[in-house]
Amino acid sequence: MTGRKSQETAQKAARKTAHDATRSAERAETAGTPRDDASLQRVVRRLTAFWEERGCATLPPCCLSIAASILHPKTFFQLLDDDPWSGLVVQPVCRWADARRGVHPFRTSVHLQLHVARVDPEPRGVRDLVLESLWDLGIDRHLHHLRLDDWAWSHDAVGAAGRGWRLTLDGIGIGRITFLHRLGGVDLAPARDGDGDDAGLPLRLDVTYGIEHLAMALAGVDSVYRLSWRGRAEQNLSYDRLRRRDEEEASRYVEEVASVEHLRGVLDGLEREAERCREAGLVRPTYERAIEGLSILDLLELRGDVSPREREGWDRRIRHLVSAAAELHLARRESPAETKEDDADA
Amino acid sequence: MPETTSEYLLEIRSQELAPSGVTSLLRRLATRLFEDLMSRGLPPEEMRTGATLRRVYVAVRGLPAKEKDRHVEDLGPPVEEAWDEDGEPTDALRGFVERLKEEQAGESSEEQTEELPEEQTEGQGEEIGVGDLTTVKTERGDYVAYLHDVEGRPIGDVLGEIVPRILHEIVRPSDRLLWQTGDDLPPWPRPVTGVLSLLDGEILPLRLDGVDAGSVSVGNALLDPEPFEVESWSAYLEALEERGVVPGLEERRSALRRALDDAARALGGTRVENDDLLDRLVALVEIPGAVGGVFDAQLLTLPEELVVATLAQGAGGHGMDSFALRDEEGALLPAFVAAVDRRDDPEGRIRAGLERACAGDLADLRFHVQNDRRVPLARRARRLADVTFHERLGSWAEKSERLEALVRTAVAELEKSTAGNIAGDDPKDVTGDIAQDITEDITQDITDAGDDERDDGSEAAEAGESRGSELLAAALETVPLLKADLTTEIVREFPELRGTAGGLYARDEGFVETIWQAIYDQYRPGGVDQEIPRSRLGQVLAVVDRLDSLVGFLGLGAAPTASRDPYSLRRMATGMIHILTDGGLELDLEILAARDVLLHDDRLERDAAEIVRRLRSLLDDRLVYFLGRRGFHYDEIEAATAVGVSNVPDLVARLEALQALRGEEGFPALVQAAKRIANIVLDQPEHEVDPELLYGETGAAAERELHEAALAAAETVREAAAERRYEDCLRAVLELAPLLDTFFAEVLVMDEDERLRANRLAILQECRRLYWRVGRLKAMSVDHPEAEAS
Repeated sequence: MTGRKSQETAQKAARKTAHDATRSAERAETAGTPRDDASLQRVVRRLTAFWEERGCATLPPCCLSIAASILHPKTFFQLLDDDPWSGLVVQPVCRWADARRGVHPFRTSVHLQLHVARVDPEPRGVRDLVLESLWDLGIDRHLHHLRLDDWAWSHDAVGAAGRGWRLTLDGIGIGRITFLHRLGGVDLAPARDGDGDDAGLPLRLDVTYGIEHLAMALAGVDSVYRLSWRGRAEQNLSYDRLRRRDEEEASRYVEEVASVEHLRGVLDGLEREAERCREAGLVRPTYERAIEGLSILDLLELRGDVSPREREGWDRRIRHLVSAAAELHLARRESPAETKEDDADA
Repeated sequence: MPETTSEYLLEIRSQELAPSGVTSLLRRLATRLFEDLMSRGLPPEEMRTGATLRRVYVAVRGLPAKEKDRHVEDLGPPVEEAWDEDGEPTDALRGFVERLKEEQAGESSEEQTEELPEEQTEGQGEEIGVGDLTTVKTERGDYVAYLHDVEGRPIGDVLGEIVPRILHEIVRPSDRLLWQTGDDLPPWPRPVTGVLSLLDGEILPLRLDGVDAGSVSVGNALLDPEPFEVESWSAYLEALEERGVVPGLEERRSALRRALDDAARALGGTRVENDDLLDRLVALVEIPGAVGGVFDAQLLTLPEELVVATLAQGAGGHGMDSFALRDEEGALLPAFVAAVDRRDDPEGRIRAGLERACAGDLADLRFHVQNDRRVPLARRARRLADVTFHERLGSWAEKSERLEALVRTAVAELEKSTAGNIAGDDPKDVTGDIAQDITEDITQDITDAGDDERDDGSEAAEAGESRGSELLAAALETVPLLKADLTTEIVREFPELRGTAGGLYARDEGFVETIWQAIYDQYRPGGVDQEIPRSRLGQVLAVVDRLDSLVGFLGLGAAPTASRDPYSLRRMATGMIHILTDGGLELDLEILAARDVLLHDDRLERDAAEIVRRLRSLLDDRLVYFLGRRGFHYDEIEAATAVGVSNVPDLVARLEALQALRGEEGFPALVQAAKRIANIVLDQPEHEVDPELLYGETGAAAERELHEAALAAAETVREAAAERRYEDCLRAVLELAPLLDTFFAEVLVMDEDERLRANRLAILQECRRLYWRVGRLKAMSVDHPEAEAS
């Protein structure tokens, strides 16, 4: 068939062009081996230093399995407060749905996020800061294509929504800037017509970098497993060695081993536990049990055991608990002042 | 015209706007500025606009240097209310004078801030008094008025006033990223980084979002943040061109298309066109550039549609935004082209990155397709009971059940119509105000039909309508699978591939062509310019699916309003009309709708009559829109729809006849006659012609001739209408036109003798019935330029 033949010719032509391009890229990048400045630990260190120099407190990661670093309990509750604040965490996040048996070039069940949370009275400059952090990291704006796309985000189970930009470097997502409108069911954007009343109100925002994707772009490698944690000189800490086995196992666990029956029991138990915490007026334990449940729910959904309708129901139930925790937190924040007044009266 | 003209250039630069909002923001700005200038008698000779995600610019050239001087007439109270019995000014008059004084004071203080030379402000110190007033005559009587001349302001003052107001008004609150207001103006949708406001080379002061206007601009702010001075509009465009930025949307669109096509050619292919994607990219880049890349040819074993969609959209929100390529034989190539906001890719890193992203996205595609294929559609269909169609309207499984019942009714309807019963032949259609009756009738019919729904199918089978029963059998096999793809990973990743994915999986599973194509095509047409489903089966399913959604949402009271149509009901209705028209489907949507209401049990909040009425009004509205898009004129549509809209193919045939014959000689005379008939007959009940009277002493020749001609024409019309040859119907009626003229000239219709009058009215009604088979001719415009009708 002539069609097939011409396709082969064209494919050959396309491959040749590809080959030429790769050759020129190779000249610049030394055959797919990551350059020293593109190690994962350097990316983390530089970004952390960049934000620390701008007044950010670096907090430890949390020990929950969370699918997005914004669910980190410390930053989550801090973002509900009005006091200007700026903190960062380097947080591994777990997305069962991204488990790809260790073969996908950049999708993994666990990846690292660097999350900057700000309660910011002067938020208009944040975009520029984020760009500056990328240039600081060594991204040459003249050699790459950085895009800032409009980004509307919402997360039903934690009653959150926001809007901002998604950052894409040469076609791969490397981060997001999100101005939060709602979090834990709390409306953070009252009176958007803004007649001056809330002119001084700080904005809550979330900046999240995807560390592996950033490092890949910097290193110019075609797979996340060719990254190194420490740099070229220390090949013993390649990402492949660090993570590939884990990824294969994560996929087998998700696809074959995870027990639906057991997980359902865990989910129900966590909900009951969260409810008990709520009744006891505990903020973080309520929140943490609910968020643990969320991760179990993701897993169950992936096993095909949760229908979309049931998922909606669970999202509602988890949101109920998360919102309750957020309300408890806000109430507790206000109560000390009341107590003082009471004391004064007495 | 003033001798010197002015040029104004306004550019607002900001952090990245949402690409979807760029065009509308620019359009609002340009339209408002143009309208405001025009309404002040300041027409610009030339206006240009442009926008990218980081800037919006408008330039006007050839502006008059100042407003025209105006003669102003300020109207006060009526004369009789202005003075009391003693001839003293009343409160009303005094109030008027006070207001004039305030206005005058306001104007002069405004002018003083503009630092007018002193001698000009002098002489304005004189206050307005009652003595300055005169009396003017108006339609409502004599009024006290103050007549004076107002000097036109310089263009700078006018722009200084209107531009901030326009900027204030064009930004919708929901577009704003930040809600803080640090200034008197509301923020731009994204924080403003710079404002260029230049009137004839001088900065025209303006403050937006806390940023003062200056005389500089920048190229691509990410690559090239160094600002440059701007002296004029042409210098501005040159400077941007040097930096590769193409601000005009249309120019950038063609430049980007060129760049993408060049990159495609370099890879040995042509681009798979995707206008939505191109639109988005045009807004996303300032410098129209393109980079191409390749991927593993083995991935081409994946379904082509899915590869194209993945390249366009990316997976997991990575945003590949690239075009697939084909070779000259039309086969997909393992290559793509993407738009980049820059002129080149100096070290090939962008290409390498895009190829990496592409490889990852296609790997994901393969992963999802493999997972999806493990569960056949029939098994997926069972899961639909757990997927919500709409909170109030039930699950997709429940919707599928309704579709099954609807499809039985629809197929039965279609078989009836192919059996020769052409809707519209019913006299009910001709007697005028039918909507109400039909609604009631249908509700009745359907209540009956509901009981023997099963019989419809078997009866058809017995009648040996082999095509029909095959259609029904195929439909019943397809309906349960129709929505099964909603549970696939592919549709979760690419919602716009619903239908397509199901069709592809059905083909994989070995379903016959009619079935997989019907699933594949169910959401067609996506717009008025697109194709309808390929097969009759696909068309029927696409219609009943939309109809069920319409009935459901209308039943919940979600009828679209001028500004809101959250469920896209208009588009659904247009889609149905489109399919009925192009597919020649003689389905009465009201009958189906009434049936569907019953199928909803007690889920709906409105009763059947109201739902059908709302559906009718929505369909009427969409019919006018759709037929208008098809080139029919409003008066043709009005004439044709007035005698029946329930059978869309029939309606279209009648429209075509009206359009074809309106240019014929004698047609205007016929329309005039129709208008006269309409006026005379008005509310009269239908009369019968009494031949005895006609041929008796009192009968006139003109009426006999008209009656005989009408009888003869009726035969032709009946035969032609039965075969839907409506041009022939109209031609037959056209022959009556001269006889009607004679009739009106020689016969007095409104005779004093009641019987004579009734008989003559009967003859006119007889004539009217003839053209009512096609349309109500009185609605036609007679001075319609024939040439317009295409």
